[in-house]
Amino acid sequence: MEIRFEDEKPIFLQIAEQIEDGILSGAFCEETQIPSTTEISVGYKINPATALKGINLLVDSGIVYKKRGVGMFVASGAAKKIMEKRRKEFYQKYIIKVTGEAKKLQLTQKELTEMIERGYKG
Amino acid sequence: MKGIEVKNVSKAFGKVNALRDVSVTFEKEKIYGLLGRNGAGKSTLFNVITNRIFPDEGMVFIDGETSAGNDSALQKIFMMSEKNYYPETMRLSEVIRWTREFYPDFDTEYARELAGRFGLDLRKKVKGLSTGYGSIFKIILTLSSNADYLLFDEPILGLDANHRDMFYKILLEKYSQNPCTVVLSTHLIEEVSGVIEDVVIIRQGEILKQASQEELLANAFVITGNAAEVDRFTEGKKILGTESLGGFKTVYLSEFVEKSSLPSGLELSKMDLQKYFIQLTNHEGGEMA
Amino acid sequence: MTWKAAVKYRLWESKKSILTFFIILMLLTALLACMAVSFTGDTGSVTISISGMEFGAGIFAFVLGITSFRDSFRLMIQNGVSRKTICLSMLVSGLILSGIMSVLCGFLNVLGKWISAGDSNVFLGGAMETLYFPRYQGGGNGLQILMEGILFFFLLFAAVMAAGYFIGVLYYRMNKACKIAVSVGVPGFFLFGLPIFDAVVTHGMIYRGFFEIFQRAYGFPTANPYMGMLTSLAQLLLLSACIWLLVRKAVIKD
Repeated sequence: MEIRFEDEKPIFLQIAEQIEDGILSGAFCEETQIPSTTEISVGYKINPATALKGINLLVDSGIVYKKRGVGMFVASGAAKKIMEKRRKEFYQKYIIKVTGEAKKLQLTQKELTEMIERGYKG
Repeated sequence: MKGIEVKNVSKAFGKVNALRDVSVTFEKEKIYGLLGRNGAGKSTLFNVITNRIFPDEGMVFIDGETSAGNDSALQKIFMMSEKNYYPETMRLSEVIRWTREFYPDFDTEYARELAGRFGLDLRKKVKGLSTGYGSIFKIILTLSSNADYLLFDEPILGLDANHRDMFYKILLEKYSQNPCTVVLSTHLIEEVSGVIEDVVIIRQGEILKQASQEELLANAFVITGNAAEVDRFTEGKKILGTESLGGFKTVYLSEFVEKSSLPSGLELSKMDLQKYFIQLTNHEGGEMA
Repeated sequence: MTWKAAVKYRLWESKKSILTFFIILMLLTALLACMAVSFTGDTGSVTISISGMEFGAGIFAFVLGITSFRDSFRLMIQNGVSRKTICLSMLVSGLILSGIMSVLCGFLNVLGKWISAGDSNVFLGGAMETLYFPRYQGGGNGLQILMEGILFFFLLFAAVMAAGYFIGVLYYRMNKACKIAVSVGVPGFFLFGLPIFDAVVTHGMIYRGFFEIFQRAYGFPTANPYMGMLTSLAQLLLLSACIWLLVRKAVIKD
């Protein structure tokens, strides 16, 4: 679990995304507990306020919820929610970059498509 | 008003102005980084806050009361510094015992537990400690004191990588369980940047910046690329500093840059705290922003 | 409460020294008593007379005062104790220690008398009788001697310890140049400069004057120990004020 401090992405966002990754990969199952703010803060060596911000982001988007006196739990349907969100962001986050870079290197659309097909097979 | 308030404090040692009209506030329950180069005035500021030395001008308030000559105010603070203030022949366990006398909330069990984790034998005498273990012992005392305000002056001096790692983790554990105000004074910025919430930057006795790290770095960007293009883009902007390598130039900006406004060919990245600090406090650097 | 903790610490710090001192004193007394007992008999009368262990204690109190400032000041400042409380703790712990030493001396005196009671050639007594002998002539009331002795030396030790503190704090606050100037200048003045001046110019009047003042201050002419107690008390108050003036601006030096 790595945090990159010089990354453009704010740390709390990186935290939220890493937890989402965990939910998608099955490391955190639905209706199970995720690490507390203290555990995250200590584990990544970041300020608890930052960890809390990351968690609150997930609470706001309905990915996790708080069980009073116990801790933070993965909401049911969270994995699905995350997938949908990331699908929506896929175009902006990845496609634009790839096509931009491809255009820079003067690759044709056909060449790019061939590469994509290769990617799926591999 | 809760917190440590330093109001217009000045202090000179002979001809050297160690602190010039310094005003800064450390609010409750935050982790602060007091960042400055060697000789910037960090230790002097701490020494004035804890009444170890007297300011030439200005005052310090702790939770609204003046700190000078005030036992109850002073004992809300526990400070560790590079220097040793304990008799050399005292045993560490005795130092703990006496610290507890003066700081009634001191947690002796916790101190022993920490000593175990760091591998420190409390039967040793103060004079038998290496630099690293001297720091570790003082860190243990500070964290166990349960004072409202914990001041760490260069806590990681002499600590090896493993112990530094332990220090941050233990500090965060403690802070999470018993929120208190922590001020870490250091010139080793990179490691500490993850842990601190608010930043106070001091240079040659003056406070340059006091803000949350997030605010500070929200407007801190690095532009790299072809020298001419970079110059064109950054003209008129708030420049902290520049670096050149052949035709390649890097400019450090202290203002917000919209990614989409960047011409192709130029790279934009965020500045981390250490880079920001270096650029801000470089003497050969650009203007102060 | 902070001042209580501060006093506790100072007492603990001095504990070892005081214990050592009194064990030595007791051993010394016991040793001499044994020697005395074994001497008498055929060899005729050998009088062993020891009086005035209190002076040893006084010197000890003085040295203790000088050496006890620096370390405890640093530790207490580290522990957030105000200089006001530090000074208060110096006073209170000084009084307690003086009281303990004075009572211990009284106890050793009584012990000494009991040992020497069985042997007329041995006299182990306290300083009170030596200093104020006219008052206690004719045997004197043992209890009175003991009580007045304890009180007298309690105040004397306190004043002497305060003098030690004063010098200790003074040296702490002085820079190197001052230290040298004072260390050489003050003794030089009183041991050489003034005596020579007195001998040559004023024909001994100054030191005679000192002597007279000293005698009267301690009530020797009238054999009045209460005069001496008053003097010690006045010295204690004056020195305490001077100590406060020095400590209130004392800073941590590295």
